[in-house]
Amino acid sequence: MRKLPLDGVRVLDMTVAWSGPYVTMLLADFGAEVIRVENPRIFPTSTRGVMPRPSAQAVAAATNLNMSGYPDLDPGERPWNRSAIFNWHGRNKRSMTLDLRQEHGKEVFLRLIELSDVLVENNAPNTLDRLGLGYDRLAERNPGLVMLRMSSGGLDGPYRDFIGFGSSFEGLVGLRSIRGQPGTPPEASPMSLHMDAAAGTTGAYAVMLALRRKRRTGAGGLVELPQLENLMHHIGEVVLAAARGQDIGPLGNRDAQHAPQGVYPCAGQDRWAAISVGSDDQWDGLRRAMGAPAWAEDPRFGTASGRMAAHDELDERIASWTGELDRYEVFQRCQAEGVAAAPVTDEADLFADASLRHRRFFRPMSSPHTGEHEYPAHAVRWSGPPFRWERASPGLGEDNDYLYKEVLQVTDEEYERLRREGHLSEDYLDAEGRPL
Amino acid sequence: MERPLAGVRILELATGIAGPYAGKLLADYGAEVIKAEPVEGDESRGRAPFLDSAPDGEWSALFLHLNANKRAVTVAAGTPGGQDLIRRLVSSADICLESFAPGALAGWGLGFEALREINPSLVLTSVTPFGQDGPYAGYRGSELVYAALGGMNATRGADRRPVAPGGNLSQYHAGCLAAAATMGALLAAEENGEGEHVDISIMAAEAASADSTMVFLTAHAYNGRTSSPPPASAGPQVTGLGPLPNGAFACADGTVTVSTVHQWVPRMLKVVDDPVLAEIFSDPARLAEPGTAAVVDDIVARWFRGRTKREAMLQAQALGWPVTAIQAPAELLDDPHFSSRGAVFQAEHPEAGRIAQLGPPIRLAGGWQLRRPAPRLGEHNDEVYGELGLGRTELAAYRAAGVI
Repeated sequence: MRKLPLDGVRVLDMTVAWSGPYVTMLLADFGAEVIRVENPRIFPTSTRGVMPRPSAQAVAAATNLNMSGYPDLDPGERPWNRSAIFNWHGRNKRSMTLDLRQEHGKEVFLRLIELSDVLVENNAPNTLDRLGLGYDRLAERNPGLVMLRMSSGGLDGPYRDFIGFGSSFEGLVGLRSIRGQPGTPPEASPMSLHMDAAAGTTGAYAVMLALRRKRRTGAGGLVELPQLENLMHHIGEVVLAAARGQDIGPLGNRDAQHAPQGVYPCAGQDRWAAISVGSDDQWDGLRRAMGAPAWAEDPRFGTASGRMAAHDELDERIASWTGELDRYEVFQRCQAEGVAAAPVTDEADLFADASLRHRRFFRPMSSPHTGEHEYPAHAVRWSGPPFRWERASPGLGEDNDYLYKEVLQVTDEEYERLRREGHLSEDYLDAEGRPL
Repeated sequence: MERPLAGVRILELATGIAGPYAGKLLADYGAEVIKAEPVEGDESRGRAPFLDSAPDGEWSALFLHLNANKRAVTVAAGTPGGQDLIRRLVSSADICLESFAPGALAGWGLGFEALREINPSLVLTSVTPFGQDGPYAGYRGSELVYAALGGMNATRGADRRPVAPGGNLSQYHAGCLAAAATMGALLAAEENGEGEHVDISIMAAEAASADSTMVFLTAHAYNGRTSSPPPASAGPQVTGLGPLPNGAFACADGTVTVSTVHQWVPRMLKVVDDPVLAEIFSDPARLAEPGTAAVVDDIVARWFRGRTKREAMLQAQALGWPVTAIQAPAELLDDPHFSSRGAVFQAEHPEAGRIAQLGPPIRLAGGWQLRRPAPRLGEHNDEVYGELGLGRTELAAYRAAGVI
């Protein structure tokens, strides 16, 4: 039987929030055994929930899906096992608990490093430095280790230990300066978490790059993914133009290649469809889609430059057409005529989407912590063996027995000692070791 | 140390952004990439922004950014001669990246099954708007269309209308996913000698994005809520957390973004060092009062107003409070962090003149190298086709027939 690409690769996962967990999710999908090493004495924000124990009332009242994302809006006994923030990426992974601030914890961790191929972390660099667990120390124990460190600023320079969310950082590399309506300042633009998406996919690629060299030469090594610089690549063309003195501001929903292009109101409340016309042929297509109205025969609209010059007028005309139609009707009529278009979708729309269903993007998974639900699964399709879809996201410390007894093979005596020292827990603990 | 992709040969038939960005990531780390463009050139050669403002006869900054480290040939894939050249190029490649409309390659006798007969270990990665089959397979995409199908619903402008995230983010993201999946398929092919066909849908990549889409889809599966209707104020909010300063604050010379969650309050108090603020956060009853948020915001706003955005950022981050300056792209060139790390630097392009180049997105010993600038159209026709054993007369005939 053909194996998955990362079959037999063991990955230790010390990631938090969005970007790092996305890396290890992809590695697990590709066959790696991913082990989350989690400290039960530190609740990392935005990793297993926004906060450890939100009240049911706060969850129900929240307008933000990060805060309200619990099955049936019920945070339950152990909210950290039920939050969507954890369960979107935790599939196929295992969870062990270990307090790396204790000497014994460090020693156990180093034993685990000896048994692993890859370590992925996305903390500020000073987090592991303070613990004395930098690359050099780990490589002493396992010279073949591949260690991916994906902090925002990288491993040196004035921003080295900066912290924040992807949304806090995107303005620093110029991304918010090209978002929003023309003429509006960058701080007025909405924030996104594209930095996390960019780093997550690139991080999975980075680990596999290093693994290929390891397969060929035996050498592991330190891999650094500075998330800010990685994000800069995603607006690289703007940076190159800016360096030649061009100031590219926000273009709203327009761009230089498409006219008309916009997000137009459709029938119903808060319903929209995007339309992009990129050539004269496509303009003819849009005219047909609109039922060949007389106004569209105006010769000014026959060329790209003419359509660009009359863009505001075109927008009004198109909006009066879309305003009468369901957004999916606009989508299908335009695409039938070769014009790029799509409804603006929300989560319910995507779950119902015919194309995603065709790709089997949504798949059921059952978990003792959350029940049975459909989840977004694998974006990639390929002709190879099925990507992994085996285990539901693990509860905190759920795999302690497997990791300590089968993998690390600690004695019963040491296992008891680890328990007494507070390393083994299925709850988050306060400073005195009491469950939160 | 050997480069991570030493010995890997790639045929890039992909055009636009997503496929070529995957090709760039692979080229930057040691793969030898041959970019085989249509005779009229990759569409990105004609796309804004250009290095200088007008498009005529100038370089596209987009093309320059996406295609450094590649050699370029031209080939008319729709002609029998072009198909013959592609077969020859494929026979010595480990990976082929393509972005034709689904079914086009197969129609030319160059589908995955046909290519693996020529080269059984070939990895073929197809990057298209909606994937190789399914109800939208023939549909057209655009950056705005991908955004509409992705996170745009949760990203509203101040007028609450959906607004694009800016630039070409969806296509870059899909390109990264294509690079990761291609790398996985390469590892498998090198292990067992069998290539695979990788099918990347830019729409599916958006739906699986860690930009919140996956979280929100999971949250929806859990309790039926959606990100519609949007919250009244713009941007992702951390709600239910009390009066914590979040969002934009004005400084003496610009603006910063502030992110504060509960755990970071002590750090904020240390940074701002204001007795009234400290008192408010030590009194739960006061925190719960409706007017408190405005008082907190006012004190914090005053602190920011008295500093430059850089001073504010450095002072706050030194104590672990996430404050970041909002910068324009032009400011990156003089930014002390990015310049000290070589994240962006000036280089000489043989024809485009002095241009900015970006440093490595991934750093590993002996990994990244800028070996050659983005190529002119067909710059390496003689060289690459010559390596395949084609003589001058054959190439002249292909040229005359419009094949290259």
